[in-house]
Amino acid sequence: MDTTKKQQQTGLILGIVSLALPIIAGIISNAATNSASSANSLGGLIFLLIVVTLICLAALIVGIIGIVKSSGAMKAATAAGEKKVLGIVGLVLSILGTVYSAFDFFFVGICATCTVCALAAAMG
Amino acid sequence: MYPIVEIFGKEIGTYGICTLVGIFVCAFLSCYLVKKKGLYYEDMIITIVYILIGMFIGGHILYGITNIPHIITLFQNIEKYTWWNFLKLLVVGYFGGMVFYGGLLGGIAAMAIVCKKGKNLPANVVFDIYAIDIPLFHAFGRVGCFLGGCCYGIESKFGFTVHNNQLNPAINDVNRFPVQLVESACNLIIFLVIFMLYKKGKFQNRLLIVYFYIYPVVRFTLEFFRGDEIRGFLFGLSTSQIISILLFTFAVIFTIVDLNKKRSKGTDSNTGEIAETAT
Repeated sequence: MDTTKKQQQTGLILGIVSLALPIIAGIISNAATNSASSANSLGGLIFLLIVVTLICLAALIVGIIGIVKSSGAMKAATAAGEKKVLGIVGLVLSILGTVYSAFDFFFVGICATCTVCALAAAMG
Repeated sequence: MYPIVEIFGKEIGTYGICTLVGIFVCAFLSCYLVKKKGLYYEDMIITIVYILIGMFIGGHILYGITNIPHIITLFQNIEKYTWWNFLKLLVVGYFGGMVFYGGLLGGIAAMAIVCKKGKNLPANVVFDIYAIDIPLFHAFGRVGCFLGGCCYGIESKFGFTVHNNQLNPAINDVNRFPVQLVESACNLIIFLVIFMLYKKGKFQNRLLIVYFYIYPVVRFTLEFFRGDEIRGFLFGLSTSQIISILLFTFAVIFTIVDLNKKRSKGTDSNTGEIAETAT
């Protein structure tokens, strides 16, 4: 019986979540940008962008936890002589999710939030 | 140069891409070396994650430390700023950048904590591998600096002229010495030297000290060719030059203490042998 399967599944789930979150954030961000031209509410746009940035930050943290958990599960599987396919998939997804969310957080999220907030501050 | 490229419709900084490539190359090399030692490479992955977090925090803190005079002025004139401008200046302006030496020291601190708390990998193995990884990662990072247009060199007849760099406008339209590429090449040579020493089993458990002997000398010299900011933090030396001196001094002191320990051990064993033969 695979004793490390649950550990590997946890890593896999965290990996999927870390990859899915920035994609969701991207969809929200696109929707917000598209509606910004027609919408009058700048406050709503700021709120959305802050939410997007926070989602990316959450994804980043989940991704890092995913990498640690998946690696731990893989080590346990190796020690127990079990298959570690789920662990490897979890690790790869977690790394991808972390990288994706990091780029979104540092290069898109913060920039967009800064710009909009500065605009809001300028408008009083 | 090319500070931003478009990938899948997204604008991504070339510095970020180079850093990422550097991280992956170093991670693969570290895992390979750990596996060759008969240890779990999964432990190395976890250690790398913590090292990266340490590097990130350390790099930003040291950047903040270099801006202490500005931060003091900011707090003295706090009433002149709106909350938003104050926060933006403090977080983005004075803590937003990263300093290599801060990252290096942050990584070492994180590594020490992980090795002490986790006890999965022997600290000496991790420290040796870290000494191999740092110059390799740094070589990629400096290529990123060159492409991004930061950490640029002084005005010179030899070099490159950059136009329309919006991220670092100060670099534009002046022929500058490509100090980033020179440092990248130096880092690559340091990497090869340390890797050869590791392969030959020389200076085992002391490779980080070897790095502390070589890199500070290189950095101290190359700082004179940097033209990106005011170079005159203390006694006309930049922060990096001061840290270079401190690191080199640390390496010298460490070596003296290490040699003394070895000598005293040798004398102890010799006196033990003499006592045994006498009895």
